[in-house]
Amino acid sequence: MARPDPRLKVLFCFGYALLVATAETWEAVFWALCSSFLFAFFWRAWSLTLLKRLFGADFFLFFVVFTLPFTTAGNALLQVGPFWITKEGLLLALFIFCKSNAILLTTYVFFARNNVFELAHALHHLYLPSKLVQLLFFTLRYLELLEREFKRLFEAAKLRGFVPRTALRSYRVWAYLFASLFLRSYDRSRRIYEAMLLRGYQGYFPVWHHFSWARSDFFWLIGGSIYLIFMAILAYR
Amino acid sequence: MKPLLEFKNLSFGYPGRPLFEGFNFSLKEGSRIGLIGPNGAGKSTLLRLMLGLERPKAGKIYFRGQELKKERDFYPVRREIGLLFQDPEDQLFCPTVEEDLAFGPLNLGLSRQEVAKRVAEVLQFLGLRGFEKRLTYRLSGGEKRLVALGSILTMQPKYILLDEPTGDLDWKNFQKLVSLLQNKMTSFLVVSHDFEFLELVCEEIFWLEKGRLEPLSKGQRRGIYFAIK
Amino acid sequence: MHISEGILPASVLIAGGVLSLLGTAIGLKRLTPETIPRAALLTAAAFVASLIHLPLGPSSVHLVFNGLLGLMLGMAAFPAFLICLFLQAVLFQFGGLTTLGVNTFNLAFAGIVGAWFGKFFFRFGLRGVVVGGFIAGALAIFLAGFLVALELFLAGESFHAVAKLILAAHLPVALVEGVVSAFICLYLQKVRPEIFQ
Ligand SMILES: Nc1ncnc2c1ncn2[C@@H]1O[C@H](COP(=O)(O)OP(=O)(O)OP(=O)(O)O)[C@@H](O)[C@H]1O
Ligand SMILES: [Mg+2]
Repeated sequence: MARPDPRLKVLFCFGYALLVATAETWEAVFWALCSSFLFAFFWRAWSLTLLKRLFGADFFLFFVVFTLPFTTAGNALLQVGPFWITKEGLLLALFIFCKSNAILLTTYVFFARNNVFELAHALHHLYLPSKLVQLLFFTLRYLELLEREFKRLFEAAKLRGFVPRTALRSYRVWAYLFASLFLRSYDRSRRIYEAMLLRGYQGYFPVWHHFSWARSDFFWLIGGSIYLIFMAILAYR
Repeated sequence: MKPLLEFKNLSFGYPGRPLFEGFNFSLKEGSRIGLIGPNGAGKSTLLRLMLGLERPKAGKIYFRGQELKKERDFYPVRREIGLLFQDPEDQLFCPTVEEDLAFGPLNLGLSRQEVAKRVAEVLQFLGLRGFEKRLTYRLSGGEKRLVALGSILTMQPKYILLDEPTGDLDWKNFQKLVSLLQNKMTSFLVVSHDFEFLELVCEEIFWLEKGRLEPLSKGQRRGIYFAIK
Repeated sequence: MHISEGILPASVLIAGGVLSLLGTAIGLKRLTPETIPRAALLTAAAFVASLIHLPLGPSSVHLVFNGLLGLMLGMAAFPAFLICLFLQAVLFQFGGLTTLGVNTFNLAFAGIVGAWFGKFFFRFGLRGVVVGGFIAGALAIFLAGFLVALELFLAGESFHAVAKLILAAHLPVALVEGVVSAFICLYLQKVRPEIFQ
């Protein structure tokens, strides 16, 4: 079975995330979580990276999830020091945790392992404003380069004895490293613009790749739509 | 024959750094010119002036006998004269090799078949078949240089300006470039600090220093050659 | 700090989305063919720099650069952060797709307001640039933290305590961001003042 068209993936993922994030019932969240696990198996996404992403990534989520049991009013279950954990609080925390992880898992399966440029192309073909897609394109193109550039700057600083510390002097060095990065990016952007001018650019960025709609995509389209409708019914009953 | 591009009495400098004063120069189709000179002499700046990326303070620039004044006047110049940048990273701004090669001709309004044909031809020409889908930012330095050259060749320019093209080429790709310039291209100006390279590919070699351009005669060339050795 | 999926109610998500849409539309309108590569490269630089963790006491912080991008890009900070956050969501699963609007609004709006105040001081020579840079950086973070807290507050009674904690957690970060931004502005103003338009 051919992989779904990138445009479908983008649409499906956004629809899925919207429904799950705003879902009000446990059935919907349970179903979403189960199916996200299935997606991950079906597209063979399980890996160490994925586990790290799921457990390590979201500081904000943990912050919220760990405080909610204490701060929600309801039936007290357990006392920890001067605080009470409530049943309602635990359930709410679990609810949010499941929602969040279902979406995380699905976005990982659909996007993280793909070529990001394919994603940018898909957004172009979904009629996002051309300027926005151009921005995304250039950002992606030069991301890795700037990362390497910063690494070189940082290594050069380290070779000259820079040790990061919590001190004004140290922050000043960081600032100069960041400033060099911004400066180089700015200068490079001028040269890139000139290179584009020399090749006839006048504001319109021609796109070379076009997606072709395969027969299997009808299957994906119908399957995805049915799934999302089903989810919507569960979520907003 | 009318020169392709002509500078008359041109003056230019960056703030606090005058470079050219009453400078004259002309570029003819079918000439193979080499340009050498100390760092900071203004070689790269000269190339930028030719394509209207910098504007002279005084003096005139003619393209096929037409005077160039406004930004728009330079559009046809940029179409017919290609410039290979000193740093290829600035020139390859598309994700894949194929898209980068297609950028110029698509801007010229060619049909997609036409563009595909040009891209394939240029890759063949540069011996880079199979590079279509490669990511530009993952290429090696020398490969980037060749692809950047390709991105200019797909515009099918009449004349090419190359700014230190031998930078990060290995021996094999250096040979490739030399043989391309010797056998397959007839009109180019190349800036380089590598005197032997210039000797191999150019008919005339100029020395640029203190805003003055001196043609090097055979005798002087030999003198410099031995001085370098 | 980015709000993650599944916490905010639909009404807040929608409000954030609409505001970001407006900001992005205005920002894109201001971009010309010449400034598109510039905005993109500065966005990429901010993205790269924001992945770097600086030590802060026993812990570490990463900077956000929303004040700085506000200074350099003006309204185009909206599309810039939209792209940053979109990439973080799809590449690292930070933040989220449904919170894209809210998070973009928090960072870009706060950055633009911070930059507006900071820019005022730029006319008073290099010392003014340092002060302006500090204000832009620190205010942008503090305001972003305030917006996050406000949105959590709107999410319900249970989130009030978290909201306060989040606001408090932003204070040291704002200080560091202010200091680093001040030095960055000093450097850039010396060597390439046109980067601030
Ligand atoms: N944008 C600029 N603003 C100010 N000065 C500049 C700028 N670009 C170049 N210069 C200065 O102009 C002089 C000529 O620069 P240019 O790059 O043309 O030299 P070059 O002959 O190509 O040198 P190299 O052999 O090192 O490549 C140098 O002294 C340089 O410092
Ligand atoms: Mg040069």
